[in-house]
Amino acid sequence: MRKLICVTLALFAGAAFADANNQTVQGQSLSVKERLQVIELINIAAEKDQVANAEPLDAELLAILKKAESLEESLEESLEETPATEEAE
Amino acid sequence: MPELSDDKTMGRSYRWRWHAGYLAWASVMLLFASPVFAEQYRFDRPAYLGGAELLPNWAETLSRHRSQRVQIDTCLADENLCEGRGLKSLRHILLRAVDLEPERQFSLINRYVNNRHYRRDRSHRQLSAISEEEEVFRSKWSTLLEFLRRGGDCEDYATAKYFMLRELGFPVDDLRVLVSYDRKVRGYHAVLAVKQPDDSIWFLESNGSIIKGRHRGYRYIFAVNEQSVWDHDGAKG
Repeated sequence: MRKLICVTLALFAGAAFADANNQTVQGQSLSVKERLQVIELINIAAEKDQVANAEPLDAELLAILKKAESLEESLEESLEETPATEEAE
Repeated sequence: MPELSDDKTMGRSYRWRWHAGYLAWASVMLLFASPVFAEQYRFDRPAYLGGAELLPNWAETLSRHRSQRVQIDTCLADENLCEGRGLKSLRHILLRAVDLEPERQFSLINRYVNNRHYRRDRSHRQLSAISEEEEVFRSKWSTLLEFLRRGGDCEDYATAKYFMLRELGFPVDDLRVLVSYDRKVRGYHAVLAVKQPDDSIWFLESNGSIIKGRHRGYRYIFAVNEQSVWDHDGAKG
């Protein structure tokens, strides 16, 4: 029984330490302004690769996307003839 | 080989039962204590922080989008008036999507947006409207038109999906751009969260998937839509 209690306590302690850097506890005492400051500086940049099991699309949706792609390509071709200035951002 | 006495057999069997018990208990505890245990996101969580104007970068993006909607509306009305990269294809997608069922609309828009060019934001120094000090900003929110022209990173993918679903008539109360900490990739990530009629939440991911219900591995940080900001990390309530 003692072992069982020790294992349980160790697990909870482990979970608490694993969560220590997520600001959950600290965050509760922050004011709205302080939270906004934290939020506005978050670097949202996780890049995710396309998964193999992405939502399968039926033929109709694929045809719509293909047509949209061809519209893009035709525009790209016309833009190549007149040099774009947008990349100068 | 000497035979085991009844006492020894019973002792061994008893010990094994205890070991199995420990193992089962530890597994259950591990499952619940594990940071990857799926946390269900709900739109009715009491995490409201304030109006969208509280986040100046987001509010400015909304304002730019409102002024750019003239271009989108003009293009939707007449194909010959679609000026700018991506507008013709956007028109095609929106006009074809309008008659589809919601689930197929999600699939179409998710794939259309995810197919676009990924481009990481450059960090830039800017005077913060909140702290009133110069800060280094690493995320820049784009409007739908800006995203179609230049591509963007995950928050721009989520925002583009948000604006497209709004164009298709989805109510503002059912859509949120949700920023989470992704424990798997160890970084902040944005997805579009859509509330379904049965109150479940679907996540339109930038990796091509649509997660229906629980999202494993995410710690929800904050969410925005045109009207509000919700804080899921600091203001637990």
